[in-house]
Amino acid sequence: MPVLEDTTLESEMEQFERDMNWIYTHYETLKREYPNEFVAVFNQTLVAHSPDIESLIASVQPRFGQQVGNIAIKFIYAEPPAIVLTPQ
Amino acid sequence: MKIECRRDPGSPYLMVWARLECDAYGIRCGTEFAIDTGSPMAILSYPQAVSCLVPLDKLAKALKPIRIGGVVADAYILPDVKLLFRTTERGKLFAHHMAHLYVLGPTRTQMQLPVPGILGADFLDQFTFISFSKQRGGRVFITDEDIKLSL
Repeated sequence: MPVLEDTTLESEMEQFERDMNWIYTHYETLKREYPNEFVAVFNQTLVAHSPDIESLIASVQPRFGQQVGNIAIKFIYAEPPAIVLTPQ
Repeated sequence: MKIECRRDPGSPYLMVWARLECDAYGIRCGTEFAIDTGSPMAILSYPQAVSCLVPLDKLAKALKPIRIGGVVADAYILPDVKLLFRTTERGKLFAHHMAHLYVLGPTRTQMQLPVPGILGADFLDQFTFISFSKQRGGRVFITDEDIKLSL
């Protein structure tokens, strides 16, 4: 396995994973409040939500600039999707 | 070395958290992918592309559109991509280089629920799945360790 040792990068990734974990942990609450919307979380705080991904990014980009890439963004399904993923 | 997968609380998908990097377009982005053992290749979804500020208008278009999850979309090619994953060993990241990654454009069909990005066989073939099973939950990893199975 190609391994990289970079503590700065790992720290950034750890921050992202904490925020993604926050979304997973609060999923039921988010589902009640923002069903079928994208949510954006940074530092374990909800910073934006929108049913439309372009609008979501447009709302956070002025505040975060290139840091947008470090925001945890996830679509909150109102119901579990029955989607077959395998592409054709 | 192991990479932990995550059970998505809102869907049946098994997810992996990753960092996407592409030097040619200055992309540095945290994101998540669904594991799809039936897919031959990894695909970046349209919402991921928007979140990661992928400039679709500058990318070459793939020869044909991709149909996924009942949605048809043009596909674009993001060259020279690195996917990074945290591992169970502190301080060690797994780096996976891809000569190109397919990226979905906006859907051509009527808007449906967004599909997640997926990791397919071009990534998964180097790993074995390990599941530490419990009645509810349990943990799932992918590993490159040499696992001896007698079936």
